[in-house]
Amino acid sequence: MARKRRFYGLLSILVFIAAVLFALPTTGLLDELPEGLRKYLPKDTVNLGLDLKGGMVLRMEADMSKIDEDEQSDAVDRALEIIRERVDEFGVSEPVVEKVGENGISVMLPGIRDAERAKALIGERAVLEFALVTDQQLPEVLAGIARLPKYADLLTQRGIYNIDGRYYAPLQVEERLEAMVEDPDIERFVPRQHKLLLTDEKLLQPASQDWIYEVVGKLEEAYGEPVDGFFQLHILDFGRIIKGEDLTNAYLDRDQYGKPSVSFEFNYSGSEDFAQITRNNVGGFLAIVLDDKVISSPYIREEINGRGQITGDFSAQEAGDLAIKLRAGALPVPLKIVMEDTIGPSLGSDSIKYGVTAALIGLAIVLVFMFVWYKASGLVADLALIINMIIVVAALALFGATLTLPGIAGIILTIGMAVDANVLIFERIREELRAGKNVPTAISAGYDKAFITILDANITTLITAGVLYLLGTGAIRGFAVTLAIGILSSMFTALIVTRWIFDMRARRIKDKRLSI
Amino acid sequence: MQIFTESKFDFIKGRKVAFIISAIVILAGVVSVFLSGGFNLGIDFTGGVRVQVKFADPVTLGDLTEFRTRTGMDVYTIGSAEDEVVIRQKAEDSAERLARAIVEYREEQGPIEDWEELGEIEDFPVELIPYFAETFDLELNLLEVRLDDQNRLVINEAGVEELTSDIETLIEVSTNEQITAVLTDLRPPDNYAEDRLDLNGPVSAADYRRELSRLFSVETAAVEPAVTAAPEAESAADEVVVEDLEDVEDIDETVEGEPAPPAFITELADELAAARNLTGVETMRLLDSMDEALELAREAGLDEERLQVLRDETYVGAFQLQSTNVIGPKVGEELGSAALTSILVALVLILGYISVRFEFSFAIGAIIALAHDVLVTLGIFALLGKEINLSIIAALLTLVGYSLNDTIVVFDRVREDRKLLRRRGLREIINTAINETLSRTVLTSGTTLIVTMVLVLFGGSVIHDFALALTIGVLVGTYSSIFIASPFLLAWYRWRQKKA
Repeated sequence: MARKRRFYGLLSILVFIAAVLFALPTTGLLDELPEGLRKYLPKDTVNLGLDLKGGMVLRMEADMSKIDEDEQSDAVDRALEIIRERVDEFGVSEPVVEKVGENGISVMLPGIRDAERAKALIGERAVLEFALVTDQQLPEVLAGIARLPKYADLLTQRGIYNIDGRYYAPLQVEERLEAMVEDPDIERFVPRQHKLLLTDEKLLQPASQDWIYEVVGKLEEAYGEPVDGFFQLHILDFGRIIKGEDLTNAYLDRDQYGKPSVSFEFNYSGSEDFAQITRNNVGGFLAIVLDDKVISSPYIREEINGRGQITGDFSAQEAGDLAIKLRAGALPVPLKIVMEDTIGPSLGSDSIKYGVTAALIGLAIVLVFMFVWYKASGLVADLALIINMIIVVAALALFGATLTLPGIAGIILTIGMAVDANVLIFERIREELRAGKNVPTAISAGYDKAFITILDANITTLITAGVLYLLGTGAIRGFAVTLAIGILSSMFTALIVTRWIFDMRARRIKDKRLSI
Repeated sequence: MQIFTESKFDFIKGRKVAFIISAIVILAGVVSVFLSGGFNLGIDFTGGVRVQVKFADPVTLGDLTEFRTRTGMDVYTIGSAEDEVVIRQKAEDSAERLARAIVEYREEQGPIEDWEELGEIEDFPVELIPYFAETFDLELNLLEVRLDDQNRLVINEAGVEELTSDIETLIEVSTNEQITAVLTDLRPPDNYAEDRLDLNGPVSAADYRRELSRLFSVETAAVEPAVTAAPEAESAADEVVVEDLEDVEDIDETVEGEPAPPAFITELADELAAARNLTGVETMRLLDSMDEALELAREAGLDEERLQVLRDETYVGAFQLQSTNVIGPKVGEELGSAALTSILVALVLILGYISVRFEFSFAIGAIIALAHDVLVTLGIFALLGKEINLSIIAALLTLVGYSLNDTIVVFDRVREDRKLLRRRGLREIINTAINETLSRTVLTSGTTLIVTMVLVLFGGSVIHDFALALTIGVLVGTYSSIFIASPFLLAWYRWRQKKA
């Protein structure tokens, strides 16, 4: 008996000290201490989930139908690696990139609010190719396509126009244009190893170059509606292309007009190919194709060796992001965004504020309630509850668990549930006392008989926490984790810590009345 | 303090009344679900778009009705402060249903001559028709509809699939556009204080600058020199072209005779003016630059109180965007089935555990009580018109674990009393056990109820419904462990004895 008590006491004190040590960094109280002392103390704090600090979550599915079967097996894993690389360069603190299910990828970006940018940076394939422009074939190809009834109106009546030998179409027909260039039916009109492609959209902006204004003016006249921008059609020779894989470096640069651009360098074989193609085609145009969109098609003035520059309608940010994508490499499979959550920072800080308020109010009421109901014994339960809270915070920090809003709810719920064990024990002790047993016997019987009940009740709650963890997603998992930690530590405080204190009380008060 | 020290209620006798009450609540839930065409499922399960905004002032019921009629979307407040609003559009008008409706329509009425015809299809989202007109001439002709040799209608699945995925994109696009329209269109409520910045009037950056300078006239004079240099040095590297243009503009202003305001005012004004051209969802991006501008203001020596004013005043329009969620319909389906699986798995595991620890008849009582708790809580949520989403499912699962606690306390005592009081019948033993454990059942639930109710009241908007589900569930769970679990244990036990 005495040995058991001493063991309980030692365990309680050790766990308490450890819990305080590990919980301290999270409270921020250690920040004031000198570095020399802090070195010896734990540093891990509780991580906040995305719902508490703001940011975005993207979930994407790989579209396996778009790639060859033999590439499918490791496509998602390779995509995962490339996305990791891109995200790392994005400059987000603690991003999480993980595989979900078979073909899914989930990306968590704390603190990010520019959703469009993040989506472009992560989700776009960034397949870079260089191909020769063979627009002289365009009239023939388009005449062929016009024979297909479904595109006849687009080509012969309204949609695509020949302006000074070049072919343009206004933004309004974007969907149909894209359907057309992707349609396998048009392949028979396009020469072998060639592709009919669109440029990226050229938008009319205050700073646009003169030629854009000119084209827009002519398109408006022909189309009969206001035009905000347009596409141009190109035929490209993909017989001898240079792939982006041959790049060794890419970085944000400025072109000769000071506009943002991306400069790149080739590896040896890419460099050789590039030099040869440009040497043989001086006076022609070389299209820079990104994800099947012609970004620009510069004039080949002379042979180019080793390095080049991509210019286009980029902002500095877009050019920088493109450089990141080129450095990380192309995604081996197209990804489709299937879920997107953006949480603003104010919602997160509001949630923390409300969560902490609720926790403190709940804690205060429960503490008072236990004291009023069980007097001195209630204070023992209150002490256990407070130690319990410290252990929960310490455990979260120690295991590097992420605290989400449902997680805070889990902790608050634990406040209510943690005292349950003590209620069961106290009621049992009262019952034993009513049956006429003396104080030490009643305490001992109370703890022993309540033990099984407490164990059974808590194990079933643990089972549901386990199911929640296994089948739930991000935020819900946070709830399952805090709930499970809370239950386990409440069993410890209720059965070990209070038991030790009660045994000491029993010895001291002997047969006098127990305040319960 | 003590309650129920020597209670001798006959709980078993009251079981029929309890069954009737429970049945009524569950039935009412079923009827209300039936009448309103299913549960109010969140976009977690249906797919769709959900946007949460916080207004500077509480929103009136009139405002909500207006949003609702103007947009045709679900618009409702959440939390208890009445200033946070959710605008939601579900994708459950599932694309496939629409695709099939169009195909069927073609089958009955022949080729579609005019897209407006689609309006005749029941429940067809009229607002999508213009998009259809623009996009679908081609695909519609590709769809093959014919009768097979047994005169059955055959639709080529590939065609429907293609159309479905196109319609899916359309729904997503149109929803985004609608929500954007709503967000850019939101007007401040009538009681929007006059001294607040009117961010909805047609104002330019210069107007904002003037307005902000007026608001912060004192600081304008005092802090000017300290900040004018900082921001330009910082951003010069990034956006040379844009920066140059802005500089020119600034010079113009100075030439006109107005002194250049401090940098934070210029920045804020530019951001606010830019915000007017941003579409709704993009306003989230604005917050980033606003933060930076506010940071500048702080560095410029603006005191916390004034900063707070600034922060409160710079609602874009009269609101701030809190969060956006876009969930594809397929993910929704997955999440839905995962939720269902998790509840079933939890129930089965608990059934197993109780069978091992007690007897199978105890497990039957416990499981029926748990299913009862879930059904009644769901029923009450349906009656209240509350949304069922992932966090509500998490709450239900928690209940499954928690409401069992009380049941186990009673069962434990039944098991114990059976050894002590061998000669008594099970009915009497159960009654005694419930009475003996009554005070602890009420107390343990009571402490948990305290915290869940505190969460409902003070936990904030996001957690509100989750906490409400827990509160209802704890109440129902306590009731069921007394009136449902034990009577069913008894009933099962008697049924088994009769059989044997």
